[in-house]
Amino acid sequence: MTVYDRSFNGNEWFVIIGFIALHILVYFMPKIFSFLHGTVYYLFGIAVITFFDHTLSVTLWNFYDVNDTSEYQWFDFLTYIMNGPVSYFFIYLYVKLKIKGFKNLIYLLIFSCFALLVEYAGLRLGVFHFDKGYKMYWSFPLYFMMQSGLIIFHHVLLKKENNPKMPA
Amino acid sequence: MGLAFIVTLTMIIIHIFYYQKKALTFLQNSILFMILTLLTTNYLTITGLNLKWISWTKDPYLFPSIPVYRDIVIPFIVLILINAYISADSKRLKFLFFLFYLSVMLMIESILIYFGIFTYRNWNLSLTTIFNAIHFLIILAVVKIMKKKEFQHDSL
Repeated sequence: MTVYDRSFNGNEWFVIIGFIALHILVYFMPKIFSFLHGTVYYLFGIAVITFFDHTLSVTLWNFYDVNDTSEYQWFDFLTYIMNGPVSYFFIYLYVKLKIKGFKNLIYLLIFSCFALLVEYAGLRLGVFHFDKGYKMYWSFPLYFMMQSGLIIFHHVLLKKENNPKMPA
Repeated sequence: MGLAFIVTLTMIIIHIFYYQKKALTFLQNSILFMILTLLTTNYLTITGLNLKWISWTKDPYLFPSIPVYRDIVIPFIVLILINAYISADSKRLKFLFFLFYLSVMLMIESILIYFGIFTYRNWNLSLTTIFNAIHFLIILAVVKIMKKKEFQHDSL
């Protein structure tokens, strides 16, 4: 086990403040989705980030670690939960701004850059520790892919609900 | 051979799920799928990497089997059985589906151990079966909550 930090400092506060602030925003923002729709968009972010973190940052590949140690800890789980509101807001704004056609590409590029900015802040505060030559720019296509996947999922969900005869 | 087996199994399971008559909507199945990936990922990481009760393969050709098994195979098998379970009319049939699910999961896990993808250290197949049963029950509880929330939404 690699230990990067033993004290309660920047990375913990980043996660705690981010976690609380984002969930307060989700709670108080006007609702435009039903409970189940909001839940699925919320879970998408958590599930995808958990998948990547438990694939790219574990044993064989181990390109990065999250928070204070290389082991999986409670704070790592909180960091993943932080992505729930992010994916919720991604689709929230997508629907509110009525993004269509080529605007999808611009929206994805902006949001991927924003995700990279947040990752940079996390890196500086000790939330992420890169290893084995992993560079931050490799995260950009991953964020782009995840967010594209979420948009596709959103459209498939709408299509299936508008056409109940389509196989679920 | 382990990776070829798990990829083939994945494709078969996805086909079965796609053609199966489903009791749940796409939205409900999606929510369950994501919850399942979270449950299985946490379970395998904690038992494998934190507690070291299960050891993961370090073979680069076998290692991709683990995320495929964890994030696709297990969730889809549970979804297939949950949809069948809910559609079943009698309690006897539901119980048979539940036993069938546990048997299938046990069989797949045994095959993965045979191929060396997992190695049990302070773990055994009985504990795996208990965890699979817990997964199933958690998902059943989530289905009940979802149906209640949908009923509340529809009645507004």
